[in-house]
Amino acid sequence: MASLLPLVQTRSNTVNFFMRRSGPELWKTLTSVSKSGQKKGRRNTRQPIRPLNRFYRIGSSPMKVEFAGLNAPMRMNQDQGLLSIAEQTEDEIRDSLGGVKKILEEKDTGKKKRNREKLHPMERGFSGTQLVGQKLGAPPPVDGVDFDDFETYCLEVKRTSNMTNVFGRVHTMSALVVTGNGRGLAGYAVGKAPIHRTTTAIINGMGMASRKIFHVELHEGRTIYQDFYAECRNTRVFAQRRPRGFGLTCHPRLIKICEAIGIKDIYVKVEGSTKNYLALTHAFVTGLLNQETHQQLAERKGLHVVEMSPSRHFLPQIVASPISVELKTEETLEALDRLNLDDFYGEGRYPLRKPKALPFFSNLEGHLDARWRKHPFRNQESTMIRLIADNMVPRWTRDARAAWAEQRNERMTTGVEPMPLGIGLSHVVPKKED
Amino acid sequence: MLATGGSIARRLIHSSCRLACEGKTKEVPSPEEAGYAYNHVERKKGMYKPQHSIAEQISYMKSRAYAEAYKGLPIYRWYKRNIKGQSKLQPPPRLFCIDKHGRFNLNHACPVCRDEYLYFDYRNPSLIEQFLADGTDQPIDILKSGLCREQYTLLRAQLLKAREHGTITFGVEFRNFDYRQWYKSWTEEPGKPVERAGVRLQDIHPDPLVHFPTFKNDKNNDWDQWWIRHDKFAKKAK
Amino acid sequence: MNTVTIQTSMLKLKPKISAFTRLSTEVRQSSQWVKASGSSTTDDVNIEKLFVEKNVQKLLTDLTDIDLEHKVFRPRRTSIQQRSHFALMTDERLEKTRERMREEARRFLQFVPVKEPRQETVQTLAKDAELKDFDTSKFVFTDITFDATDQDRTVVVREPDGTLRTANPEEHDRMNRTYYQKPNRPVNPPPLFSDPYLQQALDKNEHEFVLDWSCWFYEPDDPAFVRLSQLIFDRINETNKFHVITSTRHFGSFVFYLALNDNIPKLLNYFGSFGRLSDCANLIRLQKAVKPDWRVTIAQGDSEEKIVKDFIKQNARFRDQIGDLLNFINNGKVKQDQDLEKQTFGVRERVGRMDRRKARITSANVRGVEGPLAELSEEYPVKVVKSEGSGERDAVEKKDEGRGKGRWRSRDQNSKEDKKKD
Repeated sequence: MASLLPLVQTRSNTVNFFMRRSGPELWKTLTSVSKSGQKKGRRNTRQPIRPLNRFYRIGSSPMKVEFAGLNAPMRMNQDQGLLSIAEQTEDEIRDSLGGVKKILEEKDTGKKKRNREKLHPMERGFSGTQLVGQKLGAPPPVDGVDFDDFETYCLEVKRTSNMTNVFGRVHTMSALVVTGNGRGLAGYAVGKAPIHRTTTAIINGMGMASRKIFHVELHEGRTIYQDFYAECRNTRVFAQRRPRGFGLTCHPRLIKICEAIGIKDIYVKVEGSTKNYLALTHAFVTGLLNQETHQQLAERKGLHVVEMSPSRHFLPQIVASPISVELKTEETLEALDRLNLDDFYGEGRYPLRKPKALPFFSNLEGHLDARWRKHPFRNQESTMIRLIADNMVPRWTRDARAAWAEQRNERMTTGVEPMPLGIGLSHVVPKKED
Repeated sequence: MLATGGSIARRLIHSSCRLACEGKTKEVPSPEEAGYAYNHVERKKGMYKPQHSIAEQISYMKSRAYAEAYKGLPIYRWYKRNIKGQSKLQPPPRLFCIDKHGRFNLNHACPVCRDEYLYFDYRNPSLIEQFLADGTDQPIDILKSGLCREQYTLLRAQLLKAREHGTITFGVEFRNFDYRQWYKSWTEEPGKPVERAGVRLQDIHPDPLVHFPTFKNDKNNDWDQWWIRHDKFAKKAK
Repeated sequence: MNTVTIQTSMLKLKPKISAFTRLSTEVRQSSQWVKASGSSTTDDVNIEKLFVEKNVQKLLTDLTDIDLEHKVFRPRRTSIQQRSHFALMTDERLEKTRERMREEARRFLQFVPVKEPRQETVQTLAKDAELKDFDTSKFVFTDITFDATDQDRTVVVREPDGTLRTANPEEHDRMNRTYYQKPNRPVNPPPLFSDPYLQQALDKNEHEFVLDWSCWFYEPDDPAFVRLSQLIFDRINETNKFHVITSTRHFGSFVFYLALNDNIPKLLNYFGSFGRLSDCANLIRLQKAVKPDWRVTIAQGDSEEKIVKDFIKQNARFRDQIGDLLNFINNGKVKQDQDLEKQTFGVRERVGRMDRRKARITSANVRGVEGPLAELSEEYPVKVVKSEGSGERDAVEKKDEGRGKGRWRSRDQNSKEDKKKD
């Protein structure tokens, strides 16, 4: 049965090999290396693709040919024809003579020029001039959604390898990338690229991370809702809620993740493997996502969630109470519900807290002796602060103190201030003149 | 031989002494010669810090220049000490950025020294409050603030002064009175003494003892299976 | 005169010196707490005795309401940074804890003793003429034995003319502050207690802070303390800032001071503007208790309204000062003064951003204007649908209908029925 579709002619020209194939296809015939060739290392010595269009422009010969629609605008009136030929001006002739040479020279001089902008020391990332840990800006827009207020951090770039039967050990760059808008939205992903293409790997990662966005609820817009425990592989993470103004006290990679998400106060203890950054990220994010807000907790438990703030002398204040569930009464409560929320979620897991070991010399005789010798001066600091606060001395420099002593001495010798003479005080001995 | 050695040493000491004396008697350039370290000056070493009144400081802290420079953050937020390596292993803070003559003795001064308008004063509590830990009346750690020792001392002194002048308030300790001590006719026992922040959470909301299962206990697991197998294969190989 | 201070352990001296006591003021001609310009001429009043009387204490306690959230346990600066804690509570448990806190708050509201300023008498212990002119300075000897308290510590002074005497109270307190330092109790009184700075602090509504610190710093019978607290009380009364001192430990002495000086109409007006009739009546009762020869008569069984009305009738001269009270008594209108509210919360807002989470959604107000929909809730009905995992025990109910909704409906019906019964 005949097809209803009309016959589609795809081949437009069958005359010439060069006109039948596209440019890249033609180059491929010249530069490709076979699998076995790659295995033998011929990839490094293959022919490079020459950028011919940089050196030769269509129609730019001593006799300038203008093809309408190719290097000249289309003309509507047909009588002029599609081709027109013009003479080159003298300037153009001069330019075209040295053109190739000039382009090659430009390339040579630009080789060692490095324009790295100077970053603030706190934004320079984890190590040296590498991109790891630096701010990388917003990811590109996806399907019309733009990520203008997002900030991206690369947490790790590493070389991974895979064994294949053809090439043997194949190396790949893999980059762990986190992106987030600092208000609860964030995403993380691993981007991959061939060996040495670090930037490509990071860019791939950025693209992937911006497609895997999750949302984390933040308590007061600054910290986590509850202390949680999370683990992934051999990495165990204990995160703790902290008061306002505490800052981020955690693993450097977690600091970056927290900055991306928008957490401002947190303490995290990481136990086990601290160098498997992917597992670390995964554990931390899992823990964050498994949190519940106070409202959800109140719903789940059927109880009021009550805040007791030390600045208020632990006065209980209701933060959330159940809406769709009836309140429980005291008799139906289990022991678990009576726990305060600091101990409620860890299910008995606590981070290991080691007291700081005393230095070896702390009990040596000499050290104790030195401490005892400092004992008479223990109040010196508070006295210093008192004297400065009372405007006795403007600065704690020797000159300022000496001036103050001089002034007092003068007042006493002139009799403005009485001088105590009696018991317990040494006699005033005038200084000998040398 | 000995004598010559001694004389050389003496001569060395003498010359070094003379050098040191020369260093001491070196003329201190006047502010007009050395110039003032205004805020737009990048390298301030050897220059004098300009003097500004407290009213000028307060109006500066409300100005747009201040808002643009610090972006509404505490002034130490984007300050980084010029140190190598981890912040945990940093050396103790320097003693002062401005020497006894009022000149900067280095280019990277601490956050308060480097700004020409800023110095701690009890009449401007907003600057002091930037250096207080949130919700408390205590200054933050010196290494966290990035201040030099002198400025940190001045911070504490002005904080004390601000408290005593009432520009920064704090939670005053609660004084419990025993009325029997003050009135003859009073016979009632005083109640239990209380104090601000004197309660603990466990007094108000005691935690019950809850039994949780142990996690990852090291019992009945086959952690040595690997060696068992290893032995088996090793024997086989032999 | 310069002084040399010496700390000694003087066990032998002790029996000689009469115990330093604060109980000595018995008979006094005129009280420092009663201003001379007061209309009445009661010179012979013992205000200390008056203050500790049972009914006066009871009236003062009743007048001091306990505002836990905004006053007694308002957010204060602490000395260490500590996070707040959360817990799950039932209504019963919450009420119990709040009751506990209220009990604690009652202790925090213990009144500062109202005392007459102490006398500056000293006891001469010895006169050694041979020690005359041994020095140009006084010598102060302070007992630092372990078990001496701040009140009964022995402090003696050797004058340059050879006289050995006990220290006067000011010297005594100063030695206490020097050798037994406490936080926020420096040796010299802070400048906050004197005027330019005091006025600045009062302008910022820090009355409670200043009073708290002065009672921590001074002894209650220190003349400086009496003067300072009277100054602050006067300024509160002048500027009508009663909200800064209500529900604090100083409110008792404040009201007592006003009653002593026959100065209550402004405070009455303040109570009246909130419609607190019982407080008005209590205040008038207090005035009567403090001044028995006052013209207003209060019978045993008088109702509160009658007491207040009697007062208004007999004190026509205060009519222009108690406009709000009259408005309340005659028209039953409570002054809805938002400025007053703002002033009340002005103190808190500076302390911290801790009070943000005030708007709380409960089952009672989800559907109202206070709920998440705000004004839109009037146009659209709010349905509460049960979320996942909110209790397994309700799973059965869930089967027959949209559970939350059903229960709400039934509750509404119940409440309607109740209304019908009424």
